[in-house]
Amino acid sequence: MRPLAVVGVLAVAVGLLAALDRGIAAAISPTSAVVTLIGVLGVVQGVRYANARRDRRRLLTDPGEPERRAPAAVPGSDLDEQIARVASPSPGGYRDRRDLRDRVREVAVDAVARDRNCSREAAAAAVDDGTWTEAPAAAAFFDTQSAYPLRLRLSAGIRGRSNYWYGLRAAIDAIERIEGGSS
Amino acid sequence: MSGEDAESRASDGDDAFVDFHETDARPPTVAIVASLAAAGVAATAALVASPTGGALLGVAALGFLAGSLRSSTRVLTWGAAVGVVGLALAGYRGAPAEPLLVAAIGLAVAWDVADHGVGLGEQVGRGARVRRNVAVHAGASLLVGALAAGLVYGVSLAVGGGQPVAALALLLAGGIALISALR
Amino acid sequence: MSDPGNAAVASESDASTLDEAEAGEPEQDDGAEPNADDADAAEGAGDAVEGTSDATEGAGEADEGAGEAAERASETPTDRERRREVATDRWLGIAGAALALVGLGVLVRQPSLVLSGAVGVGYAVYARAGDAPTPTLSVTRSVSDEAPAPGDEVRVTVRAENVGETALPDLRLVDGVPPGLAVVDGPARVATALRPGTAVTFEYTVRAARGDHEWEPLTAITRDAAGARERETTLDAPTAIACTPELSAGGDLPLRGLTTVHHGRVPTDVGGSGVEFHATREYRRGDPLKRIDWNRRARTGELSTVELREERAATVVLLVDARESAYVAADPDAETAVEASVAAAGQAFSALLDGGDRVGVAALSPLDCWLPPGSGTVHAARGRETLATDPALAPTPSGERFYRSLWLRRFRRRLPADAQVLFFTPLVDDTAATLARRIDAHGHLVTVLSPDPTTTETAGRRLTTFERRQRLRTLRSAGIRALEWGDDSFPVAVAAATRRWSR
Repeated sequence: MRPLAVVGVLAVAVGLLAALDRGIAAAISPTSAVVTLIGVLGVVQGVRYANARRDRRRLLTDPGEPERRAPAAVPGSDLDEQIARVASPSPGGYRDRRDLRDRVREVAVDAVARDRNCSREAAAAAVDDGTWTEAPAAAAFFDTQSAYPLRLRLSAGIRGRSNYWYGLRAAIDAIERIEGGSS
Repeated sequence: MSGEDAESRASDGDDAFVDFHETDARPPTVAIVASLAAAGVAATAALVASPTGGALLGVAALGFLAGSLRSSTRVLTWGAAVGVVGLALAGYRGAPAEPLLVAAIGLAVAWDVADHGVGLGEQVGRGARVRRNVAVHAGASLLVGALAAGLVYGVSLAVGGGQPVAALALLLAGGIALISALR
Repeated sequence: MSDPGNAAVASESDASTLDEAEAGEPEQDDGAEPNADDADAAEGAGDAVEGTSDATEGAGEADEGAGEAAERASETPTDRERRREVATDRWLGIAGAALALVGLGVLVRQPSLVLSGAVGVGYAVYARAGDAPTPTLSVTRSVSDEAPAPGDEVRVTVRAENVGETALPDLRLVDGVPPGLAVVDGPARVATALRPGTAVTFEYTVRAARGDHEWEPLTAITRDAAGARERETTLDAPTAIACTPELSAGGDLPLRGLTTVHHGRVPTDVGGSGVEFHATREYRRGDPLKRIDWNRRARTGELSTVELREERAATVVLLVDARESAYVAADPDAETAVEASVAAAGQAFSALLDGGDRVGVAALSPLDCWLPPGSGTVHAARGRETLATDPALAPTPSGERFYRSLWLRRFRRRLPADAQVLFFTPLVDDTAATLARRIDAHGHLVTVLSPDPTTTETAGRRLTTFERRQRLRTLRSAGIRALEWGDDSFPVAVAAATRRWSR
């Protein structure tokens, strides 16, 4: 790098002298081909350097929004984030799926127990074997034996969502129907 | 009902409208106007010398307007790139030095002020008082361009009508070497 | 980090300072000035073509008449903390563009192209030359009212003077509005340029809300003239307002059904004065005439006295859930459940005091808050103060960690043996329900009063709603009285619940 800088400084210095003194310019007198070459080099390097802007990362200070009152958390927004993580059909997120299923199951068992006026054990059995609801997708969400309905799987495949995500929403809808009927 | 549209509905609730003064992150109007004025001067100057080059600088002005309205520095950069091509074209077609220098300064100031405006919009917003800031920035930018142009124009006059190609080639070669060395 | 010799500048909040600042404003930087700047800058540019070398400086000081401001201002710079300087990379690529133009000019032998390329070189040098200055500012912030009522609009005036040696060609100020306050008029920001000795003033309006609100440091962002480098600095100018709501006259709140009648776990079996029938006994000299059972006298001729159930003053502790999880609302910009709880607790506080009960305040919070039960006007004032400005009940969460068993141990130690607990909680997690049952199990009558922050818009929110409902049901089936209120007001919900419970 250093020698290049020295060459650069020398070239600029001589160039300035040549610009001021015609005699020096005449003495150097590069051929037309050399001048063209230097010009091409300038254009090529210039475009290359200008291209560096493509990789620019803007690191501006973000002062945030102090004018806004600190926003309150909305109950369930953390759950929504968790649900969004399991929405894609790609495998993985096993823990999220299990946590969510457990949580929904608790609520479903409570709702069924209250609705049928039976014990929690009986309600849990109904939830696990899918007899707790009319909706096949909601039933399949907890019941490992039955598969999701074909229509759901098709629509999940087309929209790029997981079956699990559809089952989860169907289960919550089913709980809502029970809740609405009994309260 | 899907979660997505419910969320978007929740984000612009009525309470927000009453109590929350949202910061307008668009670039301040004064910056947009100043940028367009400078771009207009550049396009007019180039138009005098070369219609095609002037047209390209007009496109650059539109790019600055679009970039300002969309708060996109990327669009501004593309506008500036088109403008530089316009300058190159006008110069290639043999435009005289004076209008070309004016066009170059106008282009630089127009881009600089537009980009400055986008940054201002992000950090202080359109609602804040910024005119003095923009005026100082635009003034400084204009001065730098004018100084540089005055310097090179003065030197070229001093050197006289001759074509010191040798001196230019040396200066360019030195410039290339220096930039490569210092990067 | 902060420079030595910089003393903190206290915020000035008295009315005279404010008036002065407002009166001084037109001289500093406002209104018609920028037009003059524009003209100056344009003129300066014209000069530069003729070769003025100090033109850059001329652009830096476009302000006339700002000198007066300097005479009045204090010279003490505000404590600052330099954060970081970053390259904005705004001008990245300008050297390349210049080089390409010059190269093309050489290639096609067009000197005019070479000249215009050289202008680009000038900008490339300009972008490299500068350094984002560290601002030395004297910041004063004044508020129109230090103790506003909730909902009042408070005008905030911020004045920043450049007391340093260097000019600030690009200065952006963003004020640190307290997180619990919302700005209702004007952004709390300004962008300007300041020569040494000049000042800028900006104003905005906040809507007051319950609590103590302290301003956070002002953020100053400075750039060099070309905008190639940027520096963030924070400037500490302490200001605070305290907003203490009046305790509403709680006479209309039918809380008697919640407390006195069901006093303690066992109803009092002490006969005496009161309103409820207890027994009759033989007349003794001195019994009040209105307590003589005249029906029996007519029937049998015997004189007897009606004994009424003794009505003792209840001891009630209002417990407000102010853990981080309680700072929830149906909408991010709506009032949190903590605000709803505190407001309801305020109503309950004055209603119970008016009814002759002894009332205390406690917070379920990582920060300690305990007002022992008491009565009287002095106690009323203390209760009002505690509910309004206790740090444990602040309008935004403290961020400290909450230790449940530690809290419960301390709370039980303090709680008088006969005290009842009115527990205000949004019930959005199991901890609140568990604590209610634990306190109940220790022999205190617990009534859960729950503002409802849940909505049913998304799957996750619906699930949370079901869980909360289930918690309420479980509490009720465990014999703990629980009421919730959402859209309807707290007194309405209490009235409905007491009707239900007394049936």
